[in-house]
Amino acid sequence: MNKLVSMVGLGLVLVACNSPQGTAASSAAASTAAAPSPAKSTTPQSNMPPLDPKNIVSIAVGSKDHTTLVTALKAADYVPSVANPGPLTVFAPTNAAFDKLPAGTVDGLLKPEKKEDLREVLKYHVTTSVYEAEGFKDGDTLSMANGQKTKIAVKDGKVSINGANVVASIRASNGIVHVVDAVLLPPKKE
Amino acid sequence: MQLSIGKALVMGGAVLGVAVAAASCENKAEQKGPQAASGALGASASLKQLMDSRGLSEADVEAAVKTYVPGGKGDEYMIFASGGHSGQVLVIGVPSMRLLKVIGVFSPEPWQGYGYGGESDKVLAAGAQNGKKISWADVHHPNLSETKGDYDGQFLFVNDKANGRVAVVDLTDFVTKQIVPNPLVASDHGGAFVDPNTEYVIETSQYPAPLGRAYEPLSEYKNKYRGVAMFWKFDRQKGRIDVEKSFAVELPPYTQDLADAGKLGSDGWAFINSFNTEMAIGGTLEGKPPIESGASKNDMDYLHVINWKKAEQLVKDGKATTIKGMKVLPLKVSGEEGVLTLVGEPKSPHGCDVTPDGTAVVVGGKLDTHATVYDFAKMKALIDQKKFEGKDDYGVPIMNFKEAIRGQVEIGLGPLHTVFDDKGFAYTSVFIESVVAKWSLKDMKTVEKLPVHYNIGHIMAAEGDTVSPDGKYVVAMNKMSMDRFSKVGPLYPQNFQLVDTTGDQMRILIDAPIGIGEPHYSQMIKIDKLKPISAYKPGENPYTGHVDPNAVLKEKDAKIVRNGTTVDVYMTAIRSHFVPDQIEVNEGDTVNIHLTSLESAEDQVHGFALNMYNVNVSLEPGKHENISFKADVPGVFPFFCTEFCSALHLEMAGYFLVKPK
Repeated sequence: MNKLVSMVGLGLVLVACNSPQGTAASSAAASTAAAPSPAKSTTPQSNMPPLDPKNIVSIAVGSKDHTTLVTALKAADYVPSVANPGPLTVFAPTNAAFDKLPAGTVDGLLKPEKKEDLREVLKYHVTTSVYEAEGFKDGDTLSMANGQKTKIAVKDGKVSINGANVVASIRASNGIVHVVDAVLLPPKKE
Repeated sequence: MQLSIGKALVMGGAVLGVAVAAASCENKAEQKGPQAASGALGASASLKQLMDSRGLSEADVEAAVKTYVPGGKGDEYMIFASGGHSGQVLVIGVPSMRLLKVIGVFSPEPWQGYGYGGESDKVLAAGAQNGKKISWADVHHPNLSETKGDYDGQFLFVNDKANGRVAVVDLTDFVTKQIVPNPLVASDHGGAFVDPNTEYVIETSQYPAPLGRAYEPLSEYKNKYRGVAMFWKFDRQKGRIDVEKSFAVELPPYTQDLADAGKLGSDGWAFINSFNTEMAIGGTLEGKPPIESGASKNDMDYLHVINWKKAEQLVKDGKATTIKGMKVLPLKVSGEEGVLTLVGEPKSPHGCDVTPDGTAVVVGGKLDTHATVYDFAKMKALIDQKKFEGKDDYGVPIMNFKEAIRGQVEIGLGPLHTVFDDKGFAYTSVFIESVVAKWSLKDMKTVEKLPVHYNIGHIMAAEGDTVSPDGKYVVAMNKMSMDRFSKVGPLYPQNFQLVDTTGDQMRILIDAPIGIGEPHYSQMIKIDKLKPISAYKPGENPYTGHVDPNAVLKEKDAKIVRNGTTVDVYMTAIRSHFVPDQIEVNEGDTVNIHLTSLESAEDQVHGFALNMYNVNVSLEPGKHENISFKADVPGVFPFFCTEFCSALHLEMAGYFLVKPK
């Protein structure tokens, strides 16, 4: 846990994605011939809030164990949703957790055409309110952001969710991150 | 030259010199970019230059043109917004988003002389709770009076969540005429909503407590703590709430939240949601979960469906009990007689909004991802046939959720409130995702999401909660502004974003920082429905609507009348003097100043301030004020006009002398 936090404190870590506005602006600029064209918009249409170092996103980005999760959040355009004030509880699978999935699963989900599926999976890791690990009771259910439920188990003081073990918990400025050792896969919807 | 968000963040981080981990991604699917510039503006060379130098896009300029209102031209709509903790109401023009007025309601307002020695003191004094003068409020929901379900522009009602009060603002002069304290509860929330003909102003409680504010230990929460739905009878002729003819419906302690009245086919009914059917009461010091998590356990809370017409009849039939002078229909009676029926609503719901056609109620599940659409006809049939799946511990029948709903719409994380347009679309505010979700009432599908900045609470549409919404604008009332404005210290203004809903895509036109209170909800009315006066009748007392018996209509009638230790000053004000302008009294005298403005011309306003006596009234043309105080401090006190009325405004002054004993 301390390790994760210190990673955030180390320095400037940046994740930047291609902005659709940037793309639109550059293509529009290319098609405009002569006079210097003004920027197409100075009003950011994204609702990505300014990030403080303890934001859930900052914590994930600062962790070397969560690069796959961060890649997935970007690919699913789900970063602003977990960056905003919430409060949220996010179950964050490690890289090793993603590696445990059948070969090709992650790569498949990262394909642009699978964005909605990926988003569903990520939403299944997020819920509202701050649920501290100590507050969970064996048998608790949580309603996740995709509308489906997860089940909590507490055995000998150790918390797991749908069988994935909570291995560390980090309080964030906009909620809490529970690091888990397995990816939570949403059950097929009826 | 355009910076991507990512770069902007890096720069921000670098400037701050703070280690920052930044991530930036655009939400391509859900977040529509600005409309592509068409070049249709045909901007002149100098305009292009200006746009370049200010870094403005054509989309920016288009938004500016859509919101710019040239001097001398009025706005198209007027917003009445709650001023939150300021205890006031904000009046804002649309599309300019210019602040037009701040109406003093629950708190003193010096410019309007509201609460500074004149007649308005009585209005504020009537708002005392438990004999305590209260000088602030948490103004929540302004609601315009309606006739046949449409705004009529006559009155505005607002509630004070903090102290359980409702106020009436008369829109002929934009002045608060009445504050009514609720004698039963310690806080409210679901107010001040009106039925389609403004027969009643509805105010529902928030945090349950023993009715009448008696003491009961928290261990008695389930047995002794209650909520209420107040039905304040509105006398439109008098322009006042008639407390005698008002009544309350007792509710279980489920922490009722928002309310709305039925309309058209559902007229006569009211709908209230609740978010703590768990009846969690906290106890954090003893290691118990806070209310926050205790109240979030159940998958379903209860929508309360109230047949208020029936409740009204039962109260008339003598079925009510009286608590603190208020008629209260007991919970047992409501459950047995079909006044109150419950139906599940997913997960700590918040908004509760009746559709323009009155056939459905939309509820946003705060911790859910759906908006649930309840079908009024289905619920009515279940109630008529007494087809219930059970009763709660208080004997209140419960309908089956699936049998009561028309369906659920996948909205996103944290849906709250819903408003409507004229094309069959609903707009739901989604707090956690910080978006406005536009969805089709017919197809029950989300069609567009507009990112807003940041974390929208209430949402409001032009006449959007009437039977005939205008469909032109939506306003996102965002709780946070973060990086949207210049910094003003750690307490940030909130952000009203005006959204154009006329095109295929929603489009933010302008951000309006609200630097007063925590604005909560608002309503928007077409300007031509309002008929405000520009002057009072000569000598009119705004609080009686009549010429005041003490009015001084001619300067020659001004006088000072002494009767023992009481001094009555009959005084006039006109550019640029007061008559009389020298008043001498003895220490300890009771002084009554009866002051009439002899002005009749538009916008010729005076004020009257008496130094050191905390007296300051506003004298709009024709207005009469009665000021009373005890001259308990001897000395010389200049009085003067406080409104820059004329070239000789500073000369509009006089002396008030108090001779020591």
